[in-house]
Amino acid sequence: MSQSDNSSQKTPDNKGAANNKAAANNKPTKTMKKSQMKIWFLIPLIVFAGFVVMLYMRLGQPTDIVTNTALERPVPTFELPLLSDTSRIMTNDNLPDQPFLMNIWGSWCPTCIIEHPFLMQLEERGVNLVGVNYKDDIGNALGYLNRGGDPFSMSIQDLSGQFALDLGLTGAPETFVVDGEGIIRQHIVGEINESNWQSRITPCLMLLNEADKNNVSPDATQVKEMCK
Amino acid sequence: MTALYLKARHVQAMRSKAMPAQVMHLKNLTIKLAGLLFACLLSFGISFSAHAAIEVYDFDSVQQEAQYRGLIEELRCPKCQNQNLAGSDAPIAQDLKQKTYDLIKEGRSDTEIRAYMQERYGDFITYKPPVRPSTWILWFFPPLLLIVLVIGWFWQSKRSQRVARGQSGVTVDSVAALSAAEKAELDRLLSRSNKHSNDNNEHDITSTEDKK
Repeated sequence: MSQSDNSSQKTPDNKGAANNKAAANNKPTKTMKKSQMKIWFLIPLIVFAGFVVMLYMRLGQPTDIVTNTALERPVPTFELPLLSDTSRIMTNDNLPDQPFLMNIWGSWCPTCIIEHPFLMQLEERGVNLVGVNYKDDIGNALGYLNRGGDPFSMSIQDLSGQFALDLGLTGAPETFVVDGEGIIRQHIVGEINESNWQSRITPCLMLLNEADKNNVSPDATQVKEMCK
Repeated sequence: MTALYLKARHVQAMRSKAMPAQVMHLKNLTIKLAGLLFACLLSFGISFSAHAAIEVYDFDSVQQEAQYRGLIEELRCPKCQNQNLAGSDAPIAQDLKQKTYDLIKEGRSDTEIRAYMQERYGDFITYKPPVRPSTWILWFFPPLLLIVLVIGWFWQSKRSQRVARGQSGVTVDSVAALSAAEKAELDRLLSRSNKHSNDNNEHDITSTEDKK
């Protein structure tokens, strides 16, 4: 009895040894296949992880693409009537010689109405604003300025929208900061308010004013930095 | 996807056992009808959104109209950024359509009109960006990826074919690489364990012989 017990204990050992040997023979190919398989399983995981990182980086960032083709170019040539007296035709020569803001507005544009009080404030602070009345009914436009006040040193009438097209406008309101030489240096899409006035427009305008005072063109690298 | 479909089929099969054939048939029909309706709605929705505005432009020729249609499909609305001019009713899109029309009436070519738009709105204005070094990745990466994948697939399938026919010798060789001594050892072990598994149930004297 004790003998048979011993044998039954030992035979599984033998069997195990046989199995081990068979496994050892198969080993080289099997492990190679396993590691290969691992790589094929890992590739999608790595791609996915990369994708997650990429999307995470873009989270909360602005998604609108702003086209700024008008920048570093002269104000497009125009021959447009003055809003207050449409018999008088204005051209580029009538634009101010000092840096100024060119604001595209319309009485039909809701954001312009929101922006208007701030434009009035800017006028009080002595900022030179030129208005472009964009695709508007002249009666409505003049009524709008009568009611809310006129912050513009002059407004020109762009009834067809051609001038706005030449500026690369996407909608109203938009504001262009123009230097003393008539070159557009900054483009603000949407309303201007205290926040972007402080953070974006003021630094740019200060740079342009200083260049204008010294009668030189503003430094290109500085413009790039200050007029974002 | 296929797995899901198979699963659905399986569930359906299970159900059909429990349900009378007629009810099943009716149910299939409703599902099919619903699918058809959905497809119709989808296609209508797409065609509606692609032509939001009703235009009343007169053209001198059919060619001009075709040119106009082509261009407003290709050009993007700069305001509503994921629509083309054809699909957008934004004021600026209307202006750009008008401008496109005017330029076509003047007899300008597609290239001239694209250049006009690009000068004012940049590369962004078109859904068909120009080919230049900065846009190479956009144009050439997808076909390149396809080529690489197809080549890789061919190579892989060729290799697995060779393995199956035993030509590559990866699996076959390693099995055949047993020396005569190893083979004898293997035979001995196999016969032994066979013998043992036969004997194991009986618990007779032969198993004790193993011990010696």
